[in-house]
Amino acid sequence: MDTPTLSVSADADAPVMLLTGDIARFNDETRDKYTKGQKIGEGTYAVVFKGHEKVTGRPVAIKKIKISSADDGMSLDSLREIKHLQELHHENIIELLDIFVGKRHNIHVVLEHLAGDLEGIIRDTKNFLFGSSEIKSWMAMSLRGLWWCHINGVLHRDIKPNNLLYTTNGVLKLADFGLARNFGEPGEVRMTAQVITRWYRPPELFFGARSYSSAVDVFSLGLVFAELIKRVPLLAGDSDVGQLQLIARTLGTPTESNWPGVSKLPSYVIPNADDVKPEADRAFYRMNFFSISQSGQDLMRFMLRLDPRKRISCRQALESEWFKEEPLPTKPENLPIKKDKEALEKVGQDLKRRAGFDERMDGGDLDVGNRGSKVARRLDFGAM
Amino acid sequence: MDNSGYILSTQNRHYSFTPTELSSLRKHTLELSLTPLASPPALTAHHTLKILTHYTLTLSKLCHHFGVPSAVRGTAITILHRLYLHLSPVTTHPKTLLLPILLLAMKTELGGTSISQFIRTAEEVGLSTTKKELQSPELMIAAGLRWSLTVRHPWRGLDGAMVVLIREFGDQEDARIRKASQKARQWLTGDCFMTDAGFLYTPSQLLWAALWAQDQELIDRYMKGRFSDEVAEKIKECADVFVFGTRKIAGCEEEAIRWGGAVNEKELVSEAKVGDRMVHLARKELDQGRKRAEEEALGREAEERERRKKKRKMEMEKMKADDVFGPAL
Ligand SMILES: Nc1ncnc2c1ncn2[C@@H]1O[C@H](COP(=O)(O)OP(=O)(O)O)[C@@H](O)[C@H]1O
Repeated sequence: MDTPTLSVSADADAPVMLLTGDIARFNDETRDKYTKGQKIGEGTYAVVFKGHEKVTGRPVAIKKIKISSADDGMSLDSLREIKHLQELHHENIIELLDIFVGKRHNIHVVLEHLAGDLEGIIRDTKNFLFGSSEIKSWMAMSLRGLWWCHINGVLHRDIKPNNLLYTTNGVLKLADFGLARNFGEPGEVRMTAQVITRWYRPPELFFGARSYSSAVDVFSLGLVFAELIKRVPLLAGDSDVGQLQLIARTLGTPTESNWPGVSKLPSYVIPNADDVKPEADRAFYRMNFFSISQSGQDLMRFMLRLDPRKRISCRQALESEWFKEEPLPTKPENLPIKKDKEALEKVGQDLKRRAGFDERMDGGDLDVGNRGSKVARRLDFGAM
Repeated sequence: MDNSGYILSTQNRHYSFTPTELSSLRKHTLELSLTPLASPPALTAHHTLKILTHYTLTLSKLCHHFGVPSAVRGTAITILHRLYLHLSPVTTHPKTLLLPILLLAMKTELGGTSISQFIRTAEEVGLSTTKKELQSPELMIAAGLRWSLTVRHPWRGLDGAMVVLIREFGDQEDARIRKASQKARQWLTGDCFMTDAGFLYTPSQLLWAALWAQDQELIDRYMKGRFSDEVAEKIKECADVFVFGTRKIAGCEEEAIRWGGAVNEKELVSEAKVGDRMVHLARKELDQGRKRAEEEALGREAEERERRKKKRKMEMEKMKADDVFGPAL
């Protein structure tokens, strides 16, 4: 390459590049649209706050990315989440409302506020009972959200119950796009096989497939389907090797006969050589998932096929008889949901009040009040 | 003709313009950056666009040196031009952002890259940079892009278009279709970036314009009855204006637009230099002003700190005095 006529070098010790002019104004306007309230959760790379959109009063979740991007740049997780959610607008995908940079150079992602996730409901066997109609409704909504990702060329790559969130009206939303990426582009660069939480990861990824497709998400969702029925993860392996063995023992051993070409994948092994199993058939699903109808069992089987090319697409899944036959899917507003912490606290306070529990009669409160007034008097005096 | 996803895409919402909108946005951004100056130079949006076009060439050469795929090159160049719709070279010179932009394009298109490898590759062409220099502008760039990190490259639809054309005209036209498609790809991944076509047409209009420019007879036959007259007109306009560079858009004499046609590199460099001199003058004045403002702000802050320290000291003394005389009751 010729040396460019005008040199291309940045200032020697450039400070953090601040937002200026129009860019700063736009950022401030965006930030000023919201109020930031209490912390409501914390993930691996973000702290989440409750907030409100000032004009509408609409509750929002403000996700503050932990690492300041000032010197390290944007993490790939937040970059992917922002990149993809900006483009995906669908009833069953979490809505990204805005993004702004905070005073300490942390990225803040403003998302619609959601009430809880499916994991919370699946695990809470004491408080939640549900059957085919509810499961049908959750599955249909998940499939619709996932279908929209796929026709827009996006793989989610982390489908699992705690990434399936719902609104206070029971509407399900796919969330957490930190691992998502585009697919289906010709001349594609190879993709990493190190994605999807182990329990929901399809066999092709354990075999090191570098060009995979939307079928990876369908498999994960198939396992969520099974989990909604069983109320425990279907395949809870404790290591990658163990997980693959579990897949082979439960759903069948991947071989050239049920999956042509599988033996050519980079890390192909027969995980259970001493105990080779044929691919799980209708009888397996009938025995294990007897609480749903035949068409539901078929749907699950097609979602969990070993060979990714044989797995059905989201669109085909949505056309399944299962969604059309009785009992019909529950309307979202009638689905069970977990009350969020704030709602629970409010219920708690109402109960306390009803029981004649007055805060001012609480000894501790009285003490604090007293101390407070002492301090106040003294400061008043000092400022005189 | 675009799938439903396009309507709500950031590209359509934030980066789709009429020529007049595009050029007034550029003028507005430049004006904004010159307002603080007591004696602004005679810098116009035409000049800043020449500077930018010059650096587009540099960026493109850098991409070839880095050996990145067309998608990365296309995204990097698009980021540069999207960013400078809201940023003026007077505020931040494009030459300081070329490498950070390339890095960001690699991150969004390839899912990351090794920074040390990146720095070494830059060094091979005499560009020395550091991790900090590469990463510190990233937030400003992303915010300047309105956080739109997806670029919809028109050539991604080429394989699909080839399939429908072969289905329509049969195998006997196979060679002709392939040739048109190959040449269309060449333009879409090459000269197209030197123009503003990407801001003015949808990806699929660009794609069909590129094909039509290669084989008008065939593509005319295909479009007949399939595309509305309005859309077909738009496609032909795009080809005339941006692929051939044989006309401008009627009723639009805008200067702050990158029209089609061959770019004369020598001419470009000398024009860019004229603009660049003015940018440097403006920056100098701006920097002095900024320094003065910063010093003033620092001075004010120090004063304020001193004042608060004094006040606290007085309060503390009063409180101590209180204690000496017993509780204030
Ligand atoms: N949109 C949201 N609405 C309400 N709460 C949320 C929302 N997003 C995240 N949270 C809360 O914040 C926590 C952390 O979220 P996140 O950063 O996505 O982490 P992770 O995916 O690692 O759990 C979640 O467990 C949840 O309690």
